Amino acid sequence: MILVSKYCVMRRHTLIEDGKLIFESNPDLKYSEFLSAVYRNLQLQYPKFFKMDELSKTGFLAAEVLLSGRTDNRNLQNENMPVYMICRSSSLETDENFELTTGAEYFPSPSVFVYTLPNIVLGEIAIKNKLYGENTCFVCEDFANEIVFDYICQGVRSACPNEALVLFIDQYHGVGEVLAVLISEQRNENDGITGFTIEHINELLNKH
Amino acid sequence: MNCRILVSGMGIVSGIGNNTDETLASLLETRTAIGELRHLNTIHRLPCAEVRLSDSEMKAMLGIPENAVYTRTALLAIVATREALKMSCIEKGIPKRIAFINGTTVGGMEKSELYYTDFLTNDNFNEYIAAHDCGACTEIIADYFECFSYVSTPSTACSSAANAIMLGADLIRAGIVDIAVAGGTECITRFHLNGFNSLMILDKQVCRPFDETRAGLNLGEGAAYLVLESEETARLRGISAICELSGYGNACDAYHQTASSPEGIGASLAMKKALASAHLQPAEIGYINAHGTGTPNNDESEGNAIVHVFGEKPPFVSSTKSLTGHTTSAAGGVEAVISILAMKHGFIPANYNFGEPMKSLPFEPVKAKIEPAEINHVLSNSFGFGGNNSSLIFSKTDN
Amino acid sequence: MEELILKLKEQIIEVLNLEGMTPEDIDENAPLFGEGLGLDSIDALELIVLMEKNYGIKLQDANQGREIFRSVSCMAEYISKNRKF
Repeated sequence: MILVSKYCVMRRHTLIEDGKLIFESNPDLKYSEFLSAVYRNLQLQYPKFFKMDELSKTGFLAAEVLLSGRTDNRNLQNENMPVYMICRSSSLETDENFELTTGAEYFPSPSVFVYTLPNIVLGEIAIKNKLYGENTCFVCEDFANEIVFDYICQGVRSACPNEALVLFIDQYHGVGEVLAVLISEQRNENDGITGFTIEHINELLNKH
Repeated sequence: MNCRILVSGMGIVSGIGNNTDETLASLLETRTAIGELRHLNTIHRLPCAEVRLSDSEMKAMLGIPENAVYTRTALLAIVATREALKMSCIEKGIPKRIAFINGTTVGGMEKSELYYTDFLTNDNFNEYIAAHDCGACTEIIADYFECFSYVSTPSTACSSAANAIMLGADLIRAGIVDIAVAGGTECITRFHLNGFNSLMILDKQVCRPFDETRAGLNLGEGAAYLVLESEETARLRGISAICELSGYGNACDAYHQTASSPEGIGASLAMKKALASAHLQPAEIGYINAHGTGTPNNDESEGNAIVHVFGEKPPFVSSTKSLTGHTTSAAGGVEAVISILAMKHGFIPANYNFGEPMKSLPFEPVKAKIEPAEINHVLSNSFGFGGNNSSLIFSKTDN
Repeated sequence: MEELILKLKEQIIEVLNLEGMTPEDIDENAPLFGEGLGLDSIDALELIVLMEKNYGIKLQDANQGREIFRSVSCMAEYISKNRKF
């Protein structure tokens, strides 16, 4: 069975790891300021973070909560770990920002263009954590998509070791949210927090 | 349950042809589609490979009313999907669960950027708002055919169609669907023409993949799909296969958002994974259809990866992007069809416009078409921004 | 030239999202790429856009940037000789 072994939720100015609140900011902060506050709270030393768009920052921070420490520990490091992402609004806000740079004042911005693809989130996570495994990005109206869940479970079963990182993520116009889960194939259902199913993922999303 | 995945149909539309027959003819004659832009309304005079058909012509072909709300990306896809379904005799045989897996990045954006100010100032084109996003594009295409019970839209830039084909195969192997129609579609938009131009990776002339003087890529557009089914489903339907999808692999380069690692780490991993899944040795591959965009970075990276996996004397290598342009999200599908045509008809397509060998590589691509050529297994590479690298292997079947 | 160098540093910090940096933190003679600020290829492209947008200087070839962007001082010198406005 595929189980969630660790999870992290970031939304509405809070950061939660495995059910515990680990950071909360002033609710009046703009989303961009909240992201910077989380970065500082996690004490990250990664200046490239500030070049990312808000979608990539959102996914990157959630991945950091789950993966930091692993890449330093050879026993836990898994460079073949697949990473999957399901998002609703894709990179729409960055697409709009790029479009603005090709308007009347015509100066298309290469650094904005780089982020006009949702799967760059996966690229940023892979670059930081040196992950060379499979990665795929799905754009879905609803996170509860059977095909995507089945595909991810198949991916975990064929990965070596049988573990994957999955992001359920969305960000648009000052509102962002992400549920990041580390999932693995286990024999015993007590070896994880909950099963990796549409029902349980919705429960985690609704709980926080 | 790793059943064999057969290809029972394929469809394609690109600058070099509106179907598989025209595409084959262009490949055999080494005829490039790269030239001046005729459909896209832009200030740029950059060489691109547009599909010859206008939206109106495609609607007429498909029996769609002129004023119906269809984006160019969707129309290209319907043209290609229709050919694929017909070739596979989809209506034949048993009731079946069929998935439509569509890779695209621009979706309906070519209409959104055209009507953007209209959306803000009047209601004349509001129906195109709902046609904008990638998922909606997939649904619009699927709805035209009324035979699909599952749809999905993997969106990973230039490896989207290849990833769609892999997803289709995995769905069949997992027993979730019986048939998967998988590939990708993309039309040229001002948005990504400007974007690629801002990255300074477009060539102002026809591109020269794997050439020492190469200076960038040319954008193209198109759509291509494969009909995939298990051996069992094909047997029950009484369908003979065109070939087999014998292996595939996806890996991450983990190096940079838009550039590839100089050593081609991700590319090597993807090709090795594909070979392992096909249970093939590198020497058994008869032809590599390279990603070969013609950028200084990609061709160096991919060239090094090919040497790493296949040695200093690899199989025949060519990039067909100097014929079709870089069709971005459709490339994995377009080049899968080209690879299969090459294998079935026994020739190696030319790496058109190649002149001077790269000093850093011990091999050269195929300068002129080679015919006849016996190819039992062909490998096709598609690499996307974000370091998303995919490789597909197709093999001859006995029938 | 001093004024141009200061202005350039402010523009670079803004355009390249160099969070938390002030002009005082940038040594105008230190390499911009490689060590120094450790900028990458996308940053180089943004500097090309900055040159055109703020000074009217259009570079056709990304490789020209290699010499011009060696340091802030090099950039300032090139701009003062070639600026259109």
